[in-house]
Amino acid sequence: MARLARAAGRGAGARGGRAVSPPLFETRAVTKRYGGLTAVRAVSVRLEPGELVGLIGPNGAGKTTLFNLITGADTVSEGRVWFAGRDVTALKDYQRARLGMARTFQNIRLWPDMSALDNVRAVLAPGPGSGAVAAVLRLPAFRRSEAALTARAEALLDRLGLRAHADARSVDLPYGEQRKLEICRALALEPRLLLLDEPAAGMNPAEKAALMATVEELRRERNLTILVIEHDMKFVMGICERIYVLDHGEEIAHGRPDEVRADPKVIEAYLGGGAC
Amino acid sequence: MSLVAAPLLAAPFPAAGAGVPLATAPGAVGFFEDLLPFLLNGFGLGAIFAFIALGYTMVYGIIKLINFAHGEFFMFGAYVGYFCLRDLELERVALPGPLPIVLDFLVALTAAAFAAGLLAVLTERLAYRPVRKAGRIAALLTAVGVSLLLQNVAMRLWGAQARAFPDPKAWSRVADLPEVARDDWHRDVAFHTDAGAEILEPRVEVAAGTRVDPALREALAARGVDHVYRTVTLDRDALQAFVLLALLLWAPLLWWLVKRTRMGKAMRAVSEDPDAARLMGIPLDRVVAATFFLGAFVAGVGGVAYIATYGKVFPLVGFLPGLKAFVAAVIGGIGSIPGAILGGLILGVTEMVLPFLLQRLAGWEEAFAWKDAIAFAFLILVLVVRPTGLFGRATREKV
Repeated sequence: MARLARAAGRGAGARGGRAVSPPLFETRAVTKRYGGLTAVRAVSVRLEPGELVGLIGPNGAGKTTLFNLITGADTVSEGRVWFAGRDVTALKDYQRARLGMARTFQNIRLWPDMSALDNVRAVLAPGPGSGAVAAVLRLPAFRRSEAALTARAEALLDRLGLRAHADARSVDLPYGEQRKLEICRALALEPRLLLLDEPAAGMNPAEKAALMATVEELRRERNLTILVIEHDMKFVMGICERIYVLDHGEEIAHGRPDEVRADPKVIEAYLGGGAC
Repeated sequence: MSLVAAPLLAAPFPAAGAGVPLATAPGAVGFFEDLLPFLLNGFGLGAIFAFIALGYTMVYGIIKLINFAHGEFFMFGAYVGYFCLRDLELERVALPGPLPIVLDFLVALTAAAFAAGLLAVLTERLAYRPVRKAGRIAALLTAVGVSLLLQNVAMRLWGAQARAFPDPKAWSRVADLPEVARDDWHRDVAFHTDAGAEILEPRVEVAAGTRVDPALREALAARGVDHVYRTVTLDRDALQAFVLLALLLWAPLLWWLVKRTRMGKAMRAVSEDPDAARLMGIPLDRVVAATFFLGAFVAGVGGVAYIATYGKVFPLVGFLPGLKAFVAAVIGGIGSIPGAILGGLILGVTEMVLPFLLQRLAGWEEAFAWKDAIAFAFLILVLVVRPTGLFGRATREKV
């Protein structure tokens, strides 16, 4: 069984055509069943370091479920999840996050009553001198560590143009800024893998274009590997190097944007059975 | 050598105030003089309510659970403090003046706080965590069950009988006693009840006025008595002032912990969106356990303060104070730390002063018998005016 899953994973990588370095991230034939319903069936996704890969599919295709399996928010029924050379299937969600796997949410899940700055600060890994004892005694080391944390958080906010909103409650931010703050908060984990769940949802074309540029820049600056769910075809086709297409919980196509766009199975999935 | 009864302090509940004869002379000065002790009692009691309410509010704030077993953490802390004070005999440490007694209390308070904290962590792990995903009603029922369980465990372990708070003892070597004893000096004798419980009965070995001559010293030495003690009656006013002071020192520290430290930010993040918190690398289980620990830690301190002030410890000692502390947390706005403190103080003062005023100004002689009803009526009134409590915020509906 395990060998079968491994073979499936390799197969997916080989089709991607860049299987030289070991992958940063891989799902090996993961399956998720809820009672009788199979939400995700034997999906193998493989990301090389530095890749920007899209995950698309019609509503209910299982994209968000797959994200949940990847991040550990939900447990797999079958299959394995590998990250940075280790099997993380048994790890809890927060442990995976600390290994450098960060995500944003389709429906914004910021901490609404906390300031933008605190949303980022709560996630940043603490430096030395930040323990409870140091905190209670207000040792100089604690103050330095707090100051360093704040500086790092401010730098991140700065990077995404949110500095002006630092002290505002996150729920009071304009919608587009909240989306950016989610990315900011995810970056605070210093991730190697960034999972974006419909980052451009609800944005106008100009905002989308700006976001596309930002994501592209961040990837290069921070050596990120990115997996993005997005409905906006222009967005996905514009920035992704490879695309996986899911339908009814199964992978129906996978390849470069132009290949995927031309794939009859994809066209059928998106336009319905009679359209071919 | 005569046998004297174990000294009992006041009645278990602050109803003791009802017995205070009120001066009948009219006039503002007399009125305020009479009011003052009730006010002080109210603040002392309120501080203890606040200590317990902190735990309710913190746990509710983070996982929206009304932890009905919180009063039992308080009770457990009270028992641990009781046993420390009774059995450790740290007062015998050779230190000058009242220092041994201070040391004794510090150790008892610390032990009670940690014991209550650990019991809370254990309870959370074994009882609450397994049902956390099963919904709030399941968690609430579990809390009620845990509360009853802990009460009954305490009854089995320590008996249903109330135990008198052990008065602190000042120890002296027999050799150091003056020629003529000025106080009653004791040495305990243990005997067993029919139920098998061990009771320590103080016997007067050397009554006040006894001439401590070499013959007596020899007689005592022959019985293996080299140290004797005299009991120190704690001044209740001073005790209450001390509890209030402890609250005023501790509460801002706790608030600052939650507002400013990393653990505090993690707590707020968990409280606002636990799933998002986990996916951002915040270990939910550990944060929840830490919250339970902190809340019960404070309640343990409150437990020792309560039995020291009101004189008795028994398995249900946490029930009424726990219920009232919950009321205090609701008055203050559950989930809010300053709210819990203010709510506790307000409830304590209301419970003491309102019956006094009703008795004095409205001529209602039975007002003190109704003090609990008055306190809960006050809660209803506050909730009618401010449904979310003093510091509460209207909760947003999640879309």
